[in-house]
Amino acid sequence: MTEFEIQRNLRAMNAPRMPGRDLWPAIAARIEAGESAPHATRRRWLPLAAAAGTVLAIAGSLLFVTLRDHTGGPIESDDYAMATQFQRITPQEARDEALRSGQDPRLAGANIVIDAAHSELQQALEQHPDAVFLVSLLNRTNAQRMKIEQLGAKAG
Amino acid sequence: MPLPMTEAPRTQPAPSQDADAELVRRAAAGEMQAFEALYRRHAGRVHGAVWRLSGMNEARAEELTQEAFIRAWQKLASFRFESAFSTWLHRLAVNVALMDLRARDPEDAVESDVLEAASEPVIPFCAGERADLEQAVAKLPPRARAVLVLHDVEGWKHEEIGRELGMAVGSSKAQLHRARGLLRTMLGEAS
Repeated sequence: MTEFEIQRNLRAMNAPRMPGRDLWPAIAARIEAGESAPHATRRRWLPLAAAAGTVLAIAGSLLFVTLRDHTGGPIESDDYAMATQFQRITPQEARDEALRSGQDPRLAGANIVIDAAHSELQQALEQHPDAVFLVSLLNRTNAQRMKIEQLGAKAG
Repeated sequence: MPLPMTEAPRTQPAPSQDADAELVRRAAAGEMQAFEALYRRHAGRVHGAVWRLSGMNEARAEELTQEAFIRAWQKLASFRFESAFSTWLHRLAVNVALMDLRARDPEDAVESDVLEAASEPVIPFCAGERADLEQAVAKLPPRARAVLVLHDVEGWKHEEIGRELGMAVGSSKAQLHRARGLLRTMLGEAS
């Protein structure tokens, strides 16, 4: 089969295909069992997403404060604006927590908040796995975690 | 798990948008009969999409089809009629299949999957038969298959594929290149 024939046949695969059996009874049973309702569940993820976003913002704040303390000045970061709006955990609190857990006192506080944000987002994703913006937030937590790790490596 | 390839796909006519819109309004108001009508009108297209993305695995595709319609029911009230219902539903179904793919196929396993598929013996195909092509697509590693199906069958752009599969545009292009190469190998062109 030539490349042209492969491409032509691939395009021809884009055709409807009915299931081998009628799936409606199972779908109707799941809906009627209360698994879902168009009105009741459509915004259930919002509180969790908002909470996760807030925790993520706090993590950004902590990371910003940590980096500022470490470098002696403000940093250029996408999280800067977000960080300046949500400074709910002070650097002293982060240092105290780090000393208690035996971690680098400059970074451990941020790690704790990142972990919390990650957990919140995972929980939200389990409820609404098709919410693409939650995946974006999760990616941002991972990016922030990497920043922390890189800073820790630089600090020794 | 490939299906017997002698069975021709069962098709249904394309639903009209006006009729869909009325059914969506009634279903969003809680009318199950209207939603059943939507299922009857669109099951073929939804099932076809998830069937291809699942590697022509009929049992898995049936689960994904059910899941897609459950999700559609849940989200029906948020449908804003800004696009055709069929487009919205198709996209939702593809997302359900991709979420399933992500759950079953960790990104770091892709390389080994590709190598494993490439090292398998070449299947003795009869060139020109679409059923053989379906069988070859089914044998591709899941992520490479997803990229190939989305790009070459569904007509998506690499930017969309990268966004939905959580990969860079370059990775999507590389996966497509690999998938096509594996297909050619399995179809015997490279021999």
